[in-house]
Amino acid sequence: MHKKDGQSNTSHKALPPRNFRFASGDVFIIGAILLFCVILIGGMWFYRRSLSDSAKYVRITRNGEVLLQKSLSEFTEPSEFLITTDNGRMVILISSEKVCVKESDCPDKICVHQGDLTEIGDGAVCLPNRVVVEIISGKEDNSGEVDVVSR
Amino acid sequence: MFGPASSRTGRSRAFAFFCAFLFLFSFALTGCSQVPKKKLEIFALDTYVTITLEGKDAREAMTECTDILADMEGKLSRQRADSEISALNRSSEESPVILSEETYALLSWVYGYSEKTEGSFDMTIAPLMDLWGFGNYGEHVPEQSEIDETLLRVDYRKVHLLSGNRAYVEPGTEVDLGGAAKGYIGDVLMEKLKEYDLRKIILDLGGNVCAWSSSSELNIGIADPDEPGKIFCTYALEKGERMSVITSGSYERFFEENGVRYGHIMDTSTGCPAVTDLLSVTVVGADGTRGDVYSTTLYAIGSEEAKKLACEENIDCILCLDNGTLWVSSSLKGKVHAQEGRTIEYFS
Repeated sequence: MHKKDGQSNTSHKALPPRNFRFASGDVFIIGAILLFCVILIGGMWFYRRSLSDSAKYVRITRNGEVLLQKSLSEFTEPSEFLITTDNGRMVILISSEKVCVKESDCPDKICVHQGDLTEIGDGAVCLPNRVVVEIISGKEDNSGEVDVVSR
Repeated sequence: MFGPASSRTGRSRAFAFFCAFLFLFSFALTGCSQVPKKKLEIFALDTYVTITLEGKDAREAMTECTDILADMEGKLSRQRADSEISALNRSSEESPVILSEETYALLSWVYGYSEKTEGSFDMTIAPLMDLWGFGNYGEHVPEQSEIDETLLRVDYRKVHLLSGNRAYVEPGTEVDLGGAAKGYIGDVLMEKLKEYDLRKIILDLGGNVCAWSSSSELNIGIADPDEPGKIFCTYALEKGERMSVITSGSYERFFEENGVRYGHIMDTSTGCPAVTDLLSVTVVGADGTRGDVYSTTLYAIGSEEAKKLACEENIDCILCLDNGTLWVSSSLKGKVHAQEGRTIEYFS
């Protein structure tokens, strides 16, 4: 509680009236801190929102190394991604709608038998060639329809 | 500011503390207190492995997982010449091998299971799979004489278990624990991970799933045999429930000759790929080793026999028939949700 006339209601020595404004230094510091907080919180909020982009990306890796990672929407025409392997080659067909392993030199062709990959979380793995072809989301944590698939 | 010097200082100080608090609070909001998450995706155990861990000890727990995977591969992989299994396959009565506790225990368990199924599941199946060319570029339909000759080598009784963790095989016999190893390794990992402070564990060992979460329900999809890149039903894993969900089927690993499809799961009585009315079998249970072997056995014997065996042995499973119907154990009612167009018939 304070009195506008600058005088306390306790028995202090009388003081000369003071300026009612905040000292300019105080205002500046407090303002800067508040502005910083707003920028930090606001920035985080926008960043998190930008991650909820549900666009589908195709990701192809070999031995863990990413060979290709692109949004499916960039494939306005279906195109073939060729990987040369020890025994021959793998051909991955990519279009804006789907991805599939069209051809592979591996013995069992499990990767080819996976068929069309269309949804986030769909994937095909070629063990002999150590290649993984999958559809992932733009989100940081890949939350598709399910957490994992038993096959 | 409005009072005497002392209260003005006090108020400024209070306000300064408030600002400092807000400052630190903003940092907290930026995620410094998020629960650690780790994801591992590697080729191991002759297959593709994905492990997802969430929790305070995620980092240390993941290191332990990679150690266990390396250790298991070193012990059980038939593809590695230096593994214990490969050493077993080179052994003889005169020079048996001494196996580690774990390998001997798994070998004994699978021997017991082979015995129980009277050889329907046989851990010495490798020569037959090699003959049909699975995995070695030699895929073809062999001559009946070749099949007959190879079948003589397929007999779990030609594996001899001795005391002191020793064992040997008769000439021509080859042990492959692949039909049980992934389930077993899942169990080993889950057991070890109990020692860590975690809230979510998802193991995907070449399609063998083992999962647990204390913080949320998990949805485990099951691959559609007609379109393996997609799922045809899901299993809802409750909070706190720990389950292995293991699927067997020939819809991924097969070859076609003259319009006929030949899958990799063998009928040990004929020496040919098992051909039944089942497209896939999924076993759900806390014991992954058991789930792994039973999913293969149930697949190979057809829907009616599988239903009978599942009831006798208390195995919770999902049988996908070639007419599209799903036969599901009644104990899984409410937990299995089929995609549109699929009918579920419960049995018990």
